[in-house]
Amino acid sequence: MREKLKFVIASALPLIILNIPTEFIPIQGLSIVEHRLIAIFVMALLFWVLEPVPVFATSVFVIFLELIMISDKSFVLFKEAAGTVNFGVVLSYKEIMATFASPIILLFLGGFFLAMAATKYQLDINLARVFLKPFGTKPAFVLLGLMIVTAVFSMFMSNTATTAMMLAIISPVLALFEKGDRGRVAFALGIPFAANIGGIGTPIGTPPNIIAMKYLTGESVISFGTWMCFSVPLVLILLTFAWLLLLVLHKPQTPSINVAIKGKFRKNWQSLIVYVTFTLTILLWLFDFLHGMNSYIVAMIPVTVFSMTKIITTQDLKRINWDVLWLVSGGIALGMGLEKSGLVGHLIESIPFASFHPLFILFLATIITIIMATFMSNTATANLLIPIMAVLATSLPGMAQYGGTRLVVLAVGFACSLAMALPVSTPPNAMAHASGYIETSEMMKAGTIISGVGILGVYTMLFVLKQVGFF
Amino acid sequence: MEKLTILCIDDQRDVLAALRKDLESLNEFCRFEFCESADEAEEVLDELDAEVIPLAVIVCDHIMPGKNGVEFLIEFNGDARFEHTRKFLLTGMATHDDTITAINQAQINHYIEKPWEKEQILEVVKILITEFVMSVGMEYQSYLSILHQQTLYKYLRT
Amino acid sequence: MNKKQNEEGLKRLVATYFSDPAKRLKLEKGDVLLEEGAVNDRLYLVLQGSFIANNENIEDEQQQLFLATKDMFIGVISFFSRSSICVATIVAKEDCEVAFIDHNQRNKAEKEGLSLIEQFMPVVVFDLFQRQQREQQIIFEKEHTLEKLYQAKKLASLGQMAAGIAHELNNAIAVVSRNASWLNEHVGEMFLQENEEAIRFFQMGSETGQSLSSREIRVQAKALQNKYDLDEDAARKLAEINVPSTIKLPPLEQLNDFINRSHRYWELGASFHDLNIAAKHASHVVGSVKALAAGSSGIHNGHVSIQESIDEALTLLSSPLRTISVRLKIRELPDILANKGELVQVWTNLIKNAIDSLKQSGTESPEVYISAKPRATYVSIRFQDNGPGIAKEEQGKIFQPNFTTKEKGLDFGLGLGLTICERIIGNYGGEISVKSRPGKTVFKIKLPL
Repeated sequence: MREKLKFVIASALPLIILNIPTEFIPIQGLSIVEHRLIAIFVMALLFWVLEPVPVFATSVFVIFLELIMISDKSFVLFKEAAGTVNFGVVLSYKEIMATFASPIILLFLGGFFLAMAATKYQLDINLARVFLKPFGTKPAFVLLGLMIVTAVFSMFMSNTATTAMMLAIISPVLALFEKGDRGRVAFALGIPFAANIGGIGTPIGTPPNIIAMKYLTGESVISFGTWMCFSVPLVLILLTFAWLLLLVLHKPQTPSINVAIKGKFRKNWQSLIVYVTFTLTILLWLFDFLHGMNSYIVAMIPVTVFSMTKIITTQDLKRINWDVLWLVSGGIALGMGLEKSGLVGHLIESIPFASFHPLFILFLATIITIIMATFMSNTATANLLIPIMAVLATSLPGMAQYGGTRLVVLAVGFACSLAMALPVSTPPNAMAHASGYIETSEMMKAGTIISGVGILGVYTMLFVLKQVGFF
Repeated sequence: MEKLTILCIDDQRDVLAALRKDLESLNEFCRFEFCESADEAEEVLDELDAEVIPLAVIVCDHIMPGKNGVEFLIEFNGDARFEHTRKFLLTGMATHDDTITAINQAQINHYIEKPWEKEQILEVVKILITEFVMSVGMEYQSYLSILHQQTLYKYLRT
Repeated sequence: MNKKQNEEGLKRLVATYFSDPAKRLKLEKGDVLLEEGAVNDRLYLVLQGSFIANNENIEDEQQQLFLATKDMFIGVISFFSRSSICVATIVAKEDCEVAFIDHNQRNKAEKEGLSLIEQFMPVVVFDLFQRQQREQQIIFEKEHTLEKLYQAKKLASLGQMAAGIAHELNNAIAVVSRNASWLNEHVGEMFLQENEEAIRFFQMGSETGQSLSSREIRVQAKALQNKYDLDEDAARKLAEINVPSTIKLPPLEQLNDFINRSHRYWELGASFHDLNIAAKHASHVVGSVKALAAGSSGIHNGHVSIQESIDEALTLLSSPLRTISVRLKIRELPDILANKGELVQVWTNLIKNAIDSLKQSGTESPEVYISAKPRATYVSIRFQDNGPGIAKEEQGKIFQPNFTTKEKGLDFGLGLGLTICERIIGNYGGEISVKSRPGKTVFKIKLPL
């Protein structure tokens, strides 16, 4: 019932927008193509917020609508007005379709291959065992260890898979806690929070980063290594803060914790290939300035090596998270439409952004981002907001002096990952909440504080970057 | 979200009533079918199939008039329409041989002896629901609160 | 040597050596013919009466060695051995007459070239052989009696154990059962008093429980779903309550609420109903086990209703009987003087045999038919099943001990065989008989009034 209602609402409003005459929309010089794009954008927004269908389906729908309504090979009815003065610029259907295989998608695919191979050959769980060892058995330090391991893994693996792995490790231990030991909450919250935060650490850590990377091109380009140079310290700072916060809010009372992970590093040749390729790929990503290959090309190394050595088989390939890739593709297609049609330009002209201080706009953008991402998919938020902010950054005269596109895109991209106040905010949050160890209110309290401090951290980082002349 | 069906078969009405009460907490996500014999269950299976309602779990008694539980489950195991459905034998008195047959030929996923405890049966049903949802490939997020967490982690890790 | 040849040999010997009236002795009951350890130079032949031979065993106890009846020899060992010392004391069991020969006996068959020993040997050996055979028979019978005793003891200890378990369970069940009915009475009174509607649904539940079958509920629910545009869950609940048409349902917008509320009350009542029924069933089973135990622990006879004893047997077997249809046709019967436990045990045995036969053969639509009717001087009770029957050649053997068609194992701990049934029925002066052909096997019991 509610599903149907959501579907109707999310479809009706865009249809109404599509059918009102173009002149009625209060945007100066709006073309027919741009008008249609507004309808598509509103559709995407409502579908992503209300989720009557899975988020990736909305992406596919966006691409489809762009193809039939505003491409150079669109449906005949949508071409009737072509050639008139205010018809506007159509998009190349090839470019729209190419979003399915844009370099950015392949970069993510490379990340998937690394993660899959690592999981398949138990590299992740074995690394977890080794990394956790130095943290001993004092609950506070075990928590720190778990959070660091989770964060590091989520830089290369999906946040969901990392959380699933870590919760599986910690759940038997949590079950042994005495009733009323608040420490349980600390552990159950620490892992999803660390996964969310850790996602910031690399361009492939989480889909919003990938979308941000897409807009960091040309003179704003940021390499894999550069990204990590400033994001890893940020991750560490936020992680430490989250750790301290959880210890203050929910101090574990149990005197010691023993996290037992079974297993040994595997020693067959496939495993060795996985270890070597894993290390090599990361090194090549970090030192791209030495070898000349950009991160997209480096991403093809694990894809190729693991396919050739049958480490990733045909069956494994079927288990790739295509939904995530398509979700990002849809976002790229939507962004491309907004940018190429000139819609964002017109939109910005109609709103007196210039009268505001650029930093106020930045502040507003990050707040909107974090609120949206709290209630809906982080990637969908990035899909909707980053393209607009990227164009805004270039067109606002005052923005350039504070860092321009880089500043804005990074701020919004990071903000997407910092939303963690509710179970629905991210899949890791939902999973931890479903474990039954935490109340929504506990998640909200700690999550909101971390979101807030996280945003401040991002501002500080950006300020420091400005000071060292990065922008 | 589509409700998952749980089919309970037992010739004793009071046992079905007790099951219904113990599994009540799944109501938001599950619908229940109760049958007093294997024959009746087969009719229900046909209906479920015709209406394309996902059958997640069968909870079946062993000793019943007419076809017994293990015989029914063996037949059911070969039913291609419900290949992902999880099978669960709940019995008061099954011999060692019956149990072996149930495991080998009906490939039951779980076995509990009566009398059961509420927590125990709820956990088992949750595990089986999780396995069903994940192996069919349904959107697990919508059922998150009734899924068995440890089982879910296993599926989500890869 | 066969018996006939031996008889002829014996006759010849008697005629030749034991026909001298001077060499005859008459003894009275209790007279000692030979004393163990004394010297004996005679060989006696029993003409009339019987003797018992005792000797002292290794533990200085008297034990019976053999029994000598007419035409048997006494003093064989002392007469033919060199020592001439008796190995046993021979006592007359009744008034007897014996003939004898002694060591001075002249050989009357010298001209045939046979020594005295050669003439006596075949007959005496055969005599010894018979003597041994008879002892064997006695030993066999003794073992058999022991076996029976052992079975009876096993049953008795099983009975004691069952009685113990039944007693323990009975206390627990009594608490469950009493509290269930107490709660049933007072929950309604205390919590639902104010609410007439609640009380009504609670009582509907507690009086009848869920009266509709799952199939009926499904059909009803579908009909209700269409009629009132309810959701599935609510429709099922409404169908379960089975609201009588006299109760007016509230308007549609309140219907869902109404259903959820009243279903809760109804379910509360129905739970008590189920609880009570289950407790009753449990205590009935315990009662039956106790009665059975009483049968094997020697409790005295009393007036027993045959109907009740059959009901108890059926309760005990309710679990294996679930897959078998039971038809009962029991007319008004007078009570009989008996031990209820023993009767239950007999019925249980007979029904269990029928169940086993039906199950082992996989008979289609298996059925057990029990009927009982009074006659002028006795009650006739029949247990009939439609199983494969008992083979002709086996029908005579089924009441014998050690006869079984079943695999080993103390199945259910009750079936100890038709032998015991026969013994019990026999003790009451009744009889048990069997008639069987494929598809119809009848055990008929007659018990005198």
